[in-house]
Amino acid sequence: MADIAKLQKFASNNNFGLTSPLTHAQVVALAEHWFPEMRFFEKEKFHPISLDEDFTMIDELFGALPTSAQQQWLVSAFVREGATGVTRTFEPPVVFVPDGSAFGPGPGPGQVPRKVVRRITEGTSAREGLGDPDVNSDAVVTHGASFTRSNQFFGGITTIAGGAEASPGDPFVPRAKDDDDRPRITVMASLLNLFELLKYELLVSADDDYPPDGLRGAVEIANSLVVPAAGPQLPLSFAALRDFLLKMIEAHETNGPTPTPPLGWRLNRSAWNAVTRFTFLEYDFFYAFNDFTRYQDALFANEHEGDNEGCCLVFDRSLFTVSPNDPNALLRVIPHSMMTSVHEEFQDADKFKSVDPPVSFPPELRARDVVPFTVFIAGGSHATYFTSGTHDLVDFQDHMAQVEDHLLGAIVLAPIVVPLLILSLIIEHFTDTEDITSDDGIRTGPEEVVGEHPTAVGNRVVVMPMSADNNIYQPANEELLRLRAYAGKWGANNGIIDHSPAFRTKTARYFRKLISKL
Amino acid sequence: MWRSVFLHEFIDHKITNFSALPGKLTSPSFALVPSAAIVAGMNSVEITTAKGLEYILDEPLRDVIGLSCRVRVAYPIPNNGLGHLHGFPLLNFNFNASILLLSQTHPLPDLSGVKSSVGFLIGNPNQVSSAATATIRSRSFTDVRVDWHTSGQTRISVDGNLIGYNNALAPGTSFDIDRLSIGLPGEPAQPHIPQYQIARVFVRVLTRTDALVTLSRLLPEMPPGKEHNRCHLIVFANLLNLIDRLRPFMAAFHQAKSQPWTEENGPPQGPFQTDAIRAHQLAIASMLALKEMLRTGDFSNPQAFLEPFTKFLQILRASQPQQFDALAAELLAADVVPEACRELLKSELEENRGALDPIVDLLSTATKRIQEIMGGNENGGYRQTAEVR
Repeated sequence: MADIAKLQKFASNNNFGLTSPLTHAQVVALAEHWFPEMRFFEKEKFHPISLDEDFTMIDELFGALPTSAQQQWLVSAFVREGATGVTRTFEPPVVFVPDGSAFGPGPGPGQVPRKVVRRITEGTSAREGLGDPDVNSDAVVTHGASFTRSNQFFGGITTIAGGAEASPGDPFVPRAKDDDDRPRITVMASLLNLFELLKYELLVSADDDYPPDGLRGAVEIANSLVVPAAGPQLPLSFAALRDFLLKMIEAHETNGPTPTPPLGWRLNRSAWNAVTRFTFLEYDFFYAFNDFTRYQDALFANEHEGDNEGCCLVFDRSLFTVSPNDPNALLRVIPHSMMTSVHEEFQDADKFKSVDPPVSFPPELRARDVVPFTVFIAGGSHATYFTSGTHDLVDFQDHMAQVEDHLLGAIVLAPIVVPLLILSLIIEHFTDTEDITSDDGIRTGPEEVVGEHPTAVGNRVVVMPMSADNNIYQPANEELLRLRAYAGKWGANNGIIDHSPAFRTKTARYFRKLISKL
Repeated sequence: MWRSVFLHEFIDHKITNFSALPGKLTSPSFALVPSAAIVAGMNSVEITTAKGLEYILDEPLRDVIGLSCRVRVAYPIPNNGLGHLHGFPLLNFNFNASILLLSQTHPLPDLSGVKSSVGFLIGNPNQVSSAATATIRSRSFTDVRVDWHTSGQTRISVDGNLIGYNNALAPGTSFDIDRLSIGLPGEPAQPHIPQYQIARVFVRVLTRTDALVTLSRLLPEMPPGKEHNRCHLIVFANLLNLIDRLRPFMAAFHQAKSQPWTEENGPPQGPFQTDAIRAHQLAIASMLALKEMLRTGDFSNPQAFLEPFTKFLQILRASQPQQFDALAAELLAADVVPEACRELLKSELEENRGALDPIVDLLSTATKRIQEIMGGNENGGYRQTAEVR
């Protein structure tokens, strides 16, 4: 259950704080300074919003419709009613949890049981449901799981010039607005000291009663910190790994002797050095809908409600120890490297870029003045790149593992042999899938970077408080915690293959990419 | 989906920052240092003799039947190689395949670029090649792309435009790839050899098993089989063998319905006959319709798949009726599931029946359409394929 009180208590008992040596105020300054210049494809309809806006934008638009017009935007779901299941409609957005399966009403030979959901909250009250005791990692927040519905509430519908069709230089205007009714893009940021983060994640993982928490998940870093020693590979339980790493942490904190790794394993020294050296400044881009299918006639193009992408700056945190009397000093710290997320991690498509620090730069300049940080967001998929233009969609996964590890559908269907063979031959002609990025769409970023560009729009960064002096688990931040700790999915989908995501932290993914490049 | 093998975009100054299947750079590769030598903000590396990059795969790729290569290249001027007389291997796959550039000498060289032959060489030891002419720019990059498929179809494109096509380059060929190289990193330096700047390299391949695996990835996900036994391997191998039987037919279709062509020498009507273009469009449309059904679980409009699929097959048959009928009859009679494996597959089908039923229905109807097309017999009359219901 989304037990907010328990999350808060655990954080308090374990002295939560993941940003040292920086205070929250310093983190905010750093996150605002490094806000990436973002350039979107001109036909992009869905621009980054806050988690809060995933509720409020629907409330405002749906609530403003006459009752008759609201009907078409109600969300249908198969729910339990008495001994059977029935289809009912709910006001968007809706928070559902699974509720087993049931037969539909009435007799019917050949009727098969269908999955049933239970409505927790809906409409203007939906957000409150995230704190419901039954809302777990299998819960879903949805406004209807279709492009049409997402477009109704979140999609750009008018271009900069007031047209209905976007074109280069005349892109769709982001739908979210600030208090003055100007279009605005919202990005979330978190600064994470990897050493403190690992320690906290290990403590969380040791507590069997720790409630579902969408903020957690970086404990996967632990798996990268040991490698098999020479000789026969021995099994390693996570408990044994955790014990070893907690001892490593203690040794690092006390300057004590290095503990002995579990039998058959050794410390991955470069990964451990990365944990003790680096801090990540992560930027999360949350989109209401991924409509990659509208851009590509490709075999694996997909669409789904809810989409979580982003990028990350890597800092050597020893450089954060700067004079408190120089407000510019922190903003003169040059990052070690930068990364972006591109589709699924297993495709090995994420981008990594080392930053060559200038030998020196004038004291009046800040780091951002000498290190550009521009990301290009691909149309529909929202894959994030460092360059504009087309990007071949890469996939370096081991395809043959599919043969070895899974029962292949083609084998089971083998008796219907001829269409299968012809389809296989046709598939051989699907060579390309591409992401498209461009310089001709909406752009946003720091004013001094974006300037008076005709397609520039405003922005804000919501910095997750992760510091000892101000953190998300403190009572003052409870509303934000309710949103971010929600561990369920930020969208539903009726399809078989496409899946909407939970808002999983990308820290472990970025970490794996980083150590592969060190 | 073709599998990605190697992508280097020289995104920073580290030669080791690339994505690839597991493998290792050879030591001469580390001498390359990406820098923005041609275009501000875009890194590239210089390649020539004794300068280049070589990557050795940990596990060789077996039975490669398709190759798709993209190279972003510039030919800076002044260049010591101007006027050289032999092709320079831009991208090499052992001795099995190469993309070559051969600049053409002009009395008054154009300083903005060099007219060059872009060649693709395949086969070991009996090499065959295809070539077309393009200008490789000197102050900006030119995107060179070569696609080859074992059907014999070979396309050479520059900056996204087709400049050369061959309809029968090494049809039926397959080979292994254990390494790729850019330039000539292992050779001693020589005078009068050109220097190129490379800003991007991307290599994809298609191996013999890829399409069937990809098709399975589109089908509903199924739990691992109870037994990873010989039956699955036998059926998989039998399916691959049958696909091999289909490829020569498709190669013959391509040879009948297209012709060798270059942008420079024509023929002006282009390489493809109307039937070839139509067949390609129908095949792609049918596959995309099926993909959409599999993705959404909505099989309520089977014609979206069946109609283009049937029309595609009708074009194929019209091109080679006797061969089509003979091959279809052979494939329909093929027994891909050995007697000893029937019970296992039957039980696995039963376990996944809920997800597979609509697909079985659709493909069974597609089988009937094939039977109807055979011999122009709209009423079928040929033996039914093995029953799965």
